[in-house]
Amino acid sequence: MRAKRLLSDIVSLTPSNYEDFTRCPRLFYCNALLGLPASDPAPSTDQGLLVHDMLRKIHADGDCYDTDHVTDVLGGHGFDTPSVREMISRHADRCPSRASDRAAHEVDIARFHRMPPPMFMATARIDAVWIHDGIVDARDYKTGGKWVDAVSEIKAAHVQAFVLAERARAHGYRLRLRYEYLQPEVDDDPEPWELDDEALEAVEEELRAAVERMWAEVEWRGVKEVDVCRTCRYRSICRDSAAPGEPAWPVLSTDSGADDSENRSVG
Amino acid sequence: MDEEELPHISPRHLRLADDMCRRRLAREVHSGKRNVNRTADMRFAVSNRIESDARLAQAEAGPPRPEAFVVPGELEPEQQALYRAATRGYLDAFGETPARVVDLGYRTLLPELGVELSSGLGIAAELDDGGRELRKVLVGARRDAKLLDEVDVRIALVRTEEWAPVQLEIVVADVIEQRRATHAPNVEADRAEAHAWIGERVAVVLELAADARPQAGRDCQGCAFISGCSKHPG
Repeated sequence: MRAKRLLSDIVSLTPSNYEDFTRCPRLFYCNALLGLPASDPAPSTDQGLLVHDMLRKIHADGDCYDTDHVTDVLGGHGFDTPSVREMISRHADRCPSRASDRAAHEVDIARFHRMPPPMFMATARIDAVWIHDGIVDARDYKTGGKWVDAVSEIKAAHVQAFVLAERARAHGYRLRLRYEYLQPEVDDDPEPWELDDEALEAVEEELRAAVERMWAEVEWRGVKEVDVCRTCRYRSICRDSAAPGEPAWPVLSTDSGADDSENRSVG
Repeated sequence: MDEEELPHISPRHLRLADDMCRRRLAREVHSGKRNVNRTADMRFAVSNRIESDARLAQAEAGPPRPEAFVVPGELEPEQQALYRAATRGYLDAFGETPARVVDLGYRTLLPELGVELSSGLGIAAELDDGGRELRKVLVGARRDAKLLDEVDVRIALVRTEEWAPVQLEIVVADVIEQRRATHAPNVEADRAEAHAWIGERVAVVLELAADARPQAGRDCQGCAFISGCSKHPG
């Protein structure tokens, strides 16, 4: 199957699908292009989503270092648990809000690359953006494990940097991208990434070259490495899996007949 | 009014118009697919094929014929695995229900509003006892996603007015996740409410589309109208 039947004229890049592409082209192919549902369980994102949501609400009408306010917000939503409170507290220790002129939370940003070809549209949701000391200080909250020592090593961050760069430059600000690890088990955040014009140009060219490789793809061959495949959400069905198995789809685990336990009506 | 020139309204517009980029909204509502950037279309290959084969399986009255579900050789191995699982799920969900499937088309003209309502309605099944069952088939939707909401029901009621004038049952089945929801609306009362609601929403959509100011953001992903957009001079 040729790429030109799969890709849009303007290829969509997101932090997660670019991370997938650099990890394994077949993963990107199954997820971003074919839109297949995962065949294998992935770690739950429930707690991460909850903490992101609480941080947004806390900052919406108060300060993360105001413990009474934090208690009100968490309590009001029924999430005032020790683990959530600890993560909010860890964020507050690093939050630049005291020194910041302006802030925005969960910001959707898009940036188009037209020339040189191929074209692509990069979009990203940035957890928080603070403006202070001539810097656009963009934050990505993390509630999972840490695997790298520097944000620049995280491929998803390259898409985030690309979409943020134009706005930062337009206002004469420098760009800094920081990943805040909120789990108590993670001692230090990876080194933040502060990008100058040269670094930003290199990022744009890197993304353009990646999209060029997508257009050149025919086989979308998987990496077939156990370390990569064993945690892949398509490991059971992937043509090139080094860890094949039976899909965990519920329909394959029952003899017959739909589970009516969820039957319900609207209204 | 020329039918070709009628604004196209989709379920997405009814749900999300207030938050959409107005330029994209305007182009989608008024331009159809002319002069657009081509977008990828393989994401629905399996679900489209399952729905198409399910129609074939009950083209004549009776229970669905399993032999109508043939693993598509042109699909990738991963898609084929999903197709096999979805076939099993579909037959689990509907295999015991004799019916004849009919085609209701993709669009319904709403002359009183001067628009066309476009949506994939699902599979329209005429049961042996004359009952009307509208089957919406999902192939591995997110587990936290609602199977059926009020907008789905309203669109179904308006678009099936001629086919199901007195009775309708809507059955949503995620044939991979084994989730199922059914809803039997009060056809007369709920249809009147659906007409009123859609009329109000269409007015809002057309008003927002008349603005047509671009807004860069999440809506830019998958937008077919990037060419000429002032937010993306490139």
